[in-house]
Amino acid sequence: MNVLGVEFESKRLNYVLLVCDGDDCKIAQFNRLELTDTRSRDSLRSFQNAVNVLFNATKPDIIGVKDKPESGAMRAGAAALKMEGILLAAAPCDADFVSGKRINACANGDGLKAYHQPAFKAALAAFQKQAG
Amino acid sequence: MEDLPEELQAAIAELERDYEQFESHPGGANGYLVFAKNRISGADVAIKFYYGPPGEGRHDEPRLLASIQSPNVLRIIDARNLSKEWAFFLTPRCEDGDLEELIAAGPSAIQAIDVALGICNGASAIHAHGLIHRDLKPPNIVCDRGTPLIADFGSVRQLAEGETDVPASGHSALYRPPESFQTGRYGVLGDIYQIGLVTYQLLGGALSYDPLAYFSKSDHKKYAEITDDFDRSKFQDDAIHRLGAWGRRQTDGLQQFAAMGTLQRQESPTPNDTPGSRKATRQLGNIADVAATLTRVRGDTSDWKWVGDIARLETNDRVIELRPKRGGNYEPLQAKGEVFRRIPSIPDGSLKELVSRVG
Repeated sequence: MNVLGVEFESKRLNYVLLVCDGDDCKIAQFNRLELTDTRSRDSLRSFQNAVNVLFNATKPDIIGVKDKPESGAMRAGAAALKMEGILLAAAPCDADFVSGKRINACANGDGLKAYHQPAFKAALAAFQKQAG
Repeated sequence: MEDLPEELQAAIAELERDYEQFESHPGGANGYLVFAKNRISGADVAIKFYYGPPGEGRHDEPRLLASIQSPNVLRIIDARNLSKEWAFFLTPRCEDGDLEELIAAGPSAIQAIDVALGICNGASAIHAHGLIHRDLKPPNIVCDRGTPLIADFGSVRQLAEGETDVPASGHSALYRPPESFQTGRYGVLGDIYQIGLVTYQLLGGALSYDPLAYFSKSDHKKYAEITDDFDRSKFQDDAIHRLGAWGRRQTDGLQQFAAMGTLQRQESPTPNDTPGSRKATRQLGNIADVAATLTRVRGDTSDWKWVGDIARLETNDRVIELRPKRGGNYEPLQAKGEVFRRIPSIPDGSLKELVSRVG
């Protein structure tokens, strides 16, 4: 099973792909996309293309997204919400929004930079929920 | 139309019931390409006539094109048999022509990156079907209102179960990855290499299509003594191979382009300025990595554009031009109303220096 973990951080989309077999999950890919301009049609279309490439290249069975509030003092920024919209519209599978509590319950992934850890944990939490 | 084989002329006569304004185009590799307009809808179409002996692989190109659903892969409208040897398929006609024309027009840096991302999207859809394109180059990518569409599927091959590569294509030595010269095999990374090379061209990188440009002095002497056309063609391919299979000429230029604001058009390729390299493909291990890198490069790149031999940057609040001077240096100017005035704080310099300071 391919599990894609995603975190939106400012204007960046950090992702980690886990390939899970039974209880065993291995990190297969990780990187970060960037949305350069939230009000440029060309910029949004290019980001959409990059997201489509990501889905074509990773073929996820489920996507774990680190949840960010859409309202309130801690709400996500415009770039994060637009990136989330593009991701969900293009997603070839279900997305599981993973709360901060579930993220914190997961251990760090080996060999990943700090900015990839939330995406790794979102993937792991989504996989654990799926696996029951 | 008179140049077409009689069989195809008869087919066009039959198509005249539904189509008009037939126009032959010289770009039809492995067949004939004809443009026409639908009499009812008014839609402009391209008709590709292709020839092949009866067999399983005869209709591979239209079948493969039809199997890929992507906004960056040319779609098939219809396909028909004409005879045991001839068949044709119809696609929309793309008014913008192919990528050669876009490259010749000099896209801006951001437009070049956006087109490269579109090509990545089309190629990733092809790879998702277990296919490898093997011939991603400007004449095989058409443009429709700024959107690149991968068009020519004549070299596409299916990866067998458990295999990671297929035999390398004999076409386009200039775009052949270094490892294919050595092993005769071609994998998904080969397509990534070709996307890198096309991106280099889109960003203004010079790539001569004249094989003689890659000859050494001794190559020219030996070449002059060869009379057979096939042997001459093979010698040209071998000369490119001997250049270290491009390995000496191409390293990780993608990062270099990002760093220098992507302006390189007037500088010929140097050993370190081309993106489609072995090192680059090691760093960019799959097509998602390429797309991710391009989104970040896009954010770091100023939208320079060539206007003739002047490099021009237009932003919301200013217009800057770098105008060439004698000796290869450039002079930085900024628009003040209708007039361009010299930027006093910045001395003349090389293109690389000025793009880095001004952009």
